[in-house]
Amino acid sequence: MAPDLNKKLEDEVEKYRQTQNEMKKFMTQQQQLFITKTENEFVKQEFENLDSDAVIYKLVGPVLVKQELSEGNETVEKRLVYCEGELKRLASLMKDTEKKLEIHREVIAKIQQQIPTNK
Amino acid sequence: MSATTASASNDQQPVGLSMSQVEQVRAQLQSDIEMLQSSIQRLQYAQEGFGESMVAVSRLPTNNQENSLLVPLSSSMYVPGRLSDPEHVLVDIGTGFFVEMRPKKAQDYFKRKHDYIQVEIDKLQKVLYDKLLTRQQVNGIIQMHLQQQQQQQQQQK
Repeated sequence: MAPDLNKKLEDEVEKYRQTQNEMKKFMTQQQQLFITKTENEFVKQEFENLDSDAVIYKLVGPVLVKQELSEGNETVEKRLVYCEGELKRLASLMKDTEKKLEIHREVIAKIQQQIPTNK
Repeated sequence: MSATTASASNDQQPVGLSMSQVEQVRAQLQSDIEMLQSSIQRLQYAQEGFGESMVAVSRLPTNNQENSLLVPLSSSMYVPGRLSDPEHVLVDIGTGFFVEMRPKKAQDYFKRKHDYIQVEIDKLQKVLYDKLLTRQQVNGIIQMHLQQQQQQQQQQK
C-alpha cells in the first residue's frame, strides 16, 4: 500500500512541477508582451506628434523601406491590438493554470496525509 | 528624529513579529533594493544613449562650407566624408520605425526622451530611498533585539 502511495505522490509532484514550469513560461511571455506593447505605445505617441507629410521608414530585415505615415500607424495599431489580445489570452491561461496548481496542491496534501497513517 | 524612530520600533516589537519574520522582511527589502538599483542603472544607461545622440545632432554642421566630417570605418580608422543632406537625419523611434527629422526636431525628440527617463529615474529613486530607510529601521530592530537577548543572558548568569 505504502509504495503505491509513494509512487502516486511522486507522480503528483512531477505533475505539479510541470504545471509550475508552464506558469513560469506564461509569465515570461507576459513580460515580453508588456515590453512590446509599451514600445509600440511609444512609437504611436511619436507618430501622433508628427506632421502628416513626415517621411518614415520601416526596417525590413537589413533594409529601410519608405512608408506612408498612415501605413505605419496601421501597423502599430495592429500590433497593439494583437498584444492586447495575447495578454488577455495569457491572463485567462494563467488563471486556469493557477487553479490547476491549487488542485495539485490539494491532491498532494491528501496523499501526504494518507501516507503516515499507513506506516 | 532618531528618538521617534526608536520609539516607533519599540512599539512595533510587542505587536509580535518573530525574529525569523523580521529577517524575512529584511531579505525581501534587500532583493527589492537590488532590483530597484539595477533598474535605475539600466535607465541611466538608456538615458546616456539619448544624451549622446542629442549632443551629436546638435553638432551637425548646418552650412555647406563646414560640411565635412570623419566617418569611422573601424574603431581606429576614419575617412573624411561629407553629408549630402545635413538638413535631415533619420531617427530610430523603436520597433523598426525610423523617422526623417530636421536636426532641431531630432534634438527635441532626444531631449524629450532624456527628460522622460529622468522622471522615471526620479520616481524609482524616491521608492529606493524609502526602502533604504525602512531597511535601516529593520536593521535597528534586529540590533535592539540582539542586545536585549544579550542582556537577558547576562542577567541569567
